[in-house]
Amino acid sequence: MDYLIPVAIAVFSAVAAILALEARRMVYGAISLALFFAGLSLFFFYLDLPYLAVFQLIVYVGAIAVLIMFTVMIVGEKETKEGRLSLLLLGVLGFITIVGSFVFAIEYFSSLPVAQTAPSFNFIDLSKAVVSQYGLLLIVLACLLTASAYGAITLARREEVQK
Amino acid sequence: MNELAIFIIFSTLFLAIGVYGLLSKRNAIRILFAIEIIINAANLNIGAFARYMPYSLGSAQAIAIFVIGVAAAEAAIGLAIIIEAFRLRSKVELDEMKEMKG
Repeated sequence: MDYLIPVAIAVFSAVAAILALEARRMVYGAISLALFFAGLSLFFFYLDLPYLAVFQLIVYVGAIAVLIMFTVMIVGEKETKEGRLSLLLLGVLGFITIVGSFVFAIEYFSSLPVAQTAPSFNFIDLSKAVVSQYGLLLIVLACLLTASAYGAITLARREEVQK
Repeated sequence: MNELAIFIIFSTLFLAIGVYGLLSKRNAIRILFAIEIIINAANLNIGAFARYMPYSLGSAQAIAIFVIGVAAAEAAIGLAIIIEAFRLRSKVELDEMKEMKG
């Protein structure tokens, strides 16, 4: 019973993830993906990482899910060649390989020395880490985001393709 | 079994679902869904290790936030490419995009 809450969130998130990939209509898939992102945010709340949880909600549920929804609406519902047996088998094989290889590693993870007293979260630690410890990484990330926004706008504004 | 192992099981489950989608789907948007699921599985792993291993909680959250930032950039570029591909051929099946094939 100790693990009731995380197991419930995991079941919710796993069902949402499977629906995102398998829903017949793409719009429902996009909504399921947003629910999956929200489930992950619940995980972060449960793990007592509130800043990460709110960040996940804002960026994923608020921005990326809506962006995906708009793209699905622009592109439409056309989906062909779905349900080919060879691809399905390949996907199931990948699933089984990952789960199977993890089964051998579970002993190792179970024996890891877990912290008995959970460290408490504070914003000072986080801001120190972001600004001083990973300051250079933050600048690189800012450049990356600017470049990707510029690239996305360039792609979207292109009028004619020269052959 | 400790609680960390439970969370690693969940994140492995999400990773496996994402790999399943990556291998079995040919629609570009579905593959983007699968990539997002995989990135979120990695983030859950980072969060769980931050909580249960005796390291700095601040560093782990900073890394997770950077991962989310990179994922946002990837999604923006990916969706722009999908829209451009849709403009060119009015469908987004990856099987049929062979222009760059040598």
